[in-house]
Amino acid sequence: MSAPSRPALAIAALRYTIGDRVLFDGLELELAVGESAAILGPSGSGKSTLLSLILGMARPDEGTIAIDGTDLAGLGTAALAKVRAGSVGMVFQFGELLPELGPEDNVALAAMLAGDDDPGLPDRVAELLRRLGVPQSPRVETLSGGERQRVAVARALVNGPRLLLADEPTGALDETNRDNVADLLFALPAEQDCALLVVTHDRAVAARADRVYTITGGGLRAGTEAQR
Amino acid sequence: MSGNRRVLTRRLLAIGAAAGRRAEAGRIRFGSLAAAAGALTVALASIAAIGVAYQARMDRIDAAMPVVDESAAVDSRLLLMEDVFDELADGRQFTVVYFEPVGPDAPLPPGMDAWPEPGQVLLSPRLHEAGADERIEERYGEYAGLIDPDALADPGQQIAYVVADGDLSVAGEYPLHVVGFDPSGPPEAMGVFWLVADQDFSVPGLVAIAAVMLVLPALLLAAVAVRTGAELRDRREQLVTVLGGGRRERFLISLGESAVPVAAGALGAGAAVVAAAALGFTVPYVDFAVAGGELLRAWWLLAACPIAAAAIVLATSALLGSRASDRRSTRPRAARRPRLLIAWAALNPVFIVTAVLLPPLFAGTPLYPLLNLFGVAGVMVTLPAAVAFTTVLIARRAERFGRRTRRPAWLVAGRRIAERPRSTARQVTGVAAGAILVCLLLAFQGAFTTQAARAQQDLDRYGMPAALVSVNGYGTAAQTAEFTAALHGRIDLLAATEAHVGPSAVYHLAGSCEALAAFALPCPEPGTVVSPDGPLEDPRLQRWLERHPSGDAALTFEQGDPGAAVEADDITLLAAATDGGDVPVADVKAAGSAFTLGVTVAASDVSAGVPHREQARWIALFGNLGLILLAAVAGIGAAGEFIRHSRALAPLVAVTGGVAVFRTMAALTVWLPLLAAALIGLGLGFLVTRPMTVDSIEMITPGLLIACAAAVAAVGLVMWQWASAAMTKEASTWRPGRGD
Repeated sequence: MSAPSRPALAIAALRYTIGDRVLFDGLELELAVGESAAILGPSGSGKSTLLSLILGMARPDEGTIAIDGTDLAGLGTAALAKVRAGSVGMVFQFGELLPELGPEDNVALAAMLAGDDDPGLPDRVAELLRRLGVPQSPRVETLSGGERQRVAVARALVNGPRLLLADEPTGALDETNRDNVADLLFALPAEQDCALLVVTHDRAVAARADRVYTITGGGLRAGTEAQR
Repeated sequence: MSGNRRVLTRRLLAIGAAAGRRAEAGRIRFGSLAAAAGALTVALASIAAIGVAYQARMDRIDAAMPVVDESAAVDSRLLLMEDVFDELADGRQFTVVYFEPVGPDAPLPPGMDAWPEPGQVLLSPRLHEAGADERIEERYGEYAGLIDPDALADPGQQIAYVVADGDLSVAGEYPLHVVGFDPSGPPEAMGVFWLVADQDFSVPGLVAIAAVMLVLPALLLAAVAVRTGAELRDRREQLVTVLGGGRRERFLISLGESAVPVAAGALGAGAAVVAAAALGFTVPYVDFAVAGGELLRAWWLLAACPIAAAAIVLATSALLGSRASDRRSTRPRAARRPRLLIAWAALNPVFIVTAVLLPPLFAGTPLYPLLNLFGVAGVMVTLPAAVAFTTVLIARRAERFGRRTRRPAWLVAGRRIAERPRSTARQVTGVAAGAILVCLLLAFQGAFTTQAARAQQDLDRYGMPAALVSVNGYGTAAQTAEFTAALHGRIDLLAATEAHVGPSAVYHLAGSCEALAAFALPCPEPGTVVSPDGPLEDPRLQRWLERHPSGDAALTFEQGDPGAAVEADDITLLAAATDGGDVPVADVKAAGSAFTLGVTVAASDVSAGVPHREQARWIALFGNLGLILLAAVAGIGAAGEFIRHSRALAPLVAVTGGVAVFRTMAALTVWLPLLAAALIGLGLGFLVTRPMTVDSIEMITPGLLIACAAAVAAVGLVMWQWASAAMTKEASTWRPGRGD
């Protein structure tokens, strides 16, 4: 169990380039458990790349990224996978659910990948889905967009992550579903004892966060001024 | 393994399997993976079969090794044996083995279960078949049947067994005293099948060619197939990676996705290999027969081939899976100006000139082959750039044509190819370079046939108005008379001996007045040696003398009895067709059965090139198969790329109903580059190896070039149809807003 004072996410002096383009230069961000933050930015500003770096899918040129106190630098593939499985939950824009699995299996998959040996996993998953308001269905393809996104949220939560990441989680939803999913997401830090980082285009969604940042000049600026 | 872990394993396998089922153009992916596993199975089995067949062949050759005991008493257990060479027209040399069992207990040679009567002949099945036109049954005596092919070095071996009807110890120069046939016989003894072993293609050479032409393209096919239509699998692997999955989890998805098609391909090909091994088969084109069951003696090796092939393809699939984490960006990058590519492309014609035009300036010097080889190597190295550059030029024209004539397929395909020259170059380079390599290997093989090529040129130029006939072993006057009588009216014969006076050759001919008159020579008094008064009147004699290797040979002649000359001095006979045409070699050889060991007709050296020509057929066979595989590599790769990039068009096509656009686009991006690569590769290969082949038998025949080009074109055609059908289907089932 990590100490409560340890930040769920700590990014320091991050520098990342693609070719001769500097995407981040000296980017800093710290998120404590129970906090939420939203990052706004125009297309191509590096919002999704920042999530990739936090997930360890890409390596920074300089700087450190620590999740729940674990510095990702120097971790091997297996160790990174362990951090991702155990400490991070991720919600994608389009859910990225596997159509060949039902909602329960989609959620349980993440737990099993984290090495969850609990025989009561199916019950836990069913309870989680029920709590998030996902109706029972043999296939995710028969669920609505909002319901699918709730399944994706359940999948992100099933391992009890310290850090929840969401990449345009409401981008594919209508207004009603957008509000429902956004409300659900931003209530999670307090309910689930985790930190939430959302990247989005949507100011209305971002406004629900404790802190809002905009990517500009290779770093994060508090507020929404730079958003187009 | 815990319960959840077992469930996870099953889930991941199922996820992979679903990705395979749901893949767009799923049939192409399934077919590609199955084809890769099947091709690799066959390629590995080919190498295994070469080794097993060679070993089985050597065992039979060893089993035909005579146990020689020159000190053995001449009793009923002794067998006298002597072999001579013979050949069919345009065929390789083979041995005619003469046996003379001294008694009933003499050991039987391999493939014979009882002694025929003296004067009777057994032929190998292939010789019997191949020699039918030359009436081979009549050549050595009375035909009595076939040699058991199971005992031969291979079922395609040509050999004749003759039971001598004379005294072999007198007629033969060195008959072996054989007391048995045993593989453990003294190593200095020459086996019954020694010649066929001597003519064999070297096994390491054959394995090397099979490795380069079959295994390597099959591995390339596997590498391309595992990436074809793999988008859904990639997405699942990336998702599982984000969720915390590692190598094992990605491997399980890969396994689940690829296992069925790979297993289907490997097992299908494995079953075909086993069936062929069990039933026996003749390798097409090279006509090499493998007896049924022979390869099954190493069944475990054959069984390992599909397993190894499947393991390799699955490992390749796992290794070349999603590598998103290695990429910095998936966004398109600005095209770089390919300066280096243009520079390399410009060097290509320079190397063509070096290979083709420079060597003749240094004829007869070591620079001749060196310049040619340097040029050929340069052509191969710079070919990708040249193809890419040419492709870009053509594609830009296609794009302009499409814009001008409002043909969307030309516009889109031309634009795409022009933007991605390296991709197209990679697509076609295998086929083009493979075609040049095949030509180069054949040219090398042809370099061994200079002697035979010159003989062939000589034969083409002069025909064969006369030929020297030498008696194998010892001939008596009576046998010579019988031989002469058999040819009377068809062949004119004179005894002929060659002597050298200084650098010049002098032929001395002897015959009856009638025989001399047949050659328009006067009949001198007995015992008087004369030279012709003026130019020779008989054109056959004239042309024959002109063809002497040292130039015009001088001539003397006398009246005499060829039979006595043969018996006394073991001299040769000059034979010329009475009608002035070519000497009917088969007839002369058939008449030669009058002698105990027959005759040898020094017709030409053409047969010296036959083993090389036959070996070259292996190169051509493997080369053609390799080109087909390389074409499949290119075709599948191109089809996969085409489908991936054409998906963006699917909604538009679904709305407008213009599915024909896919047919044209697929033709331009899948089929046309392959056809161009085959034609450029084969054309360049033929051209740049010319200096190497001017003085050898032509191994790179028009038929072979056409066959290779047709094979590649056919593969391209199939891939074109496949790709366009897949996209047409995808477009026809597209619905707005539907994801996967």
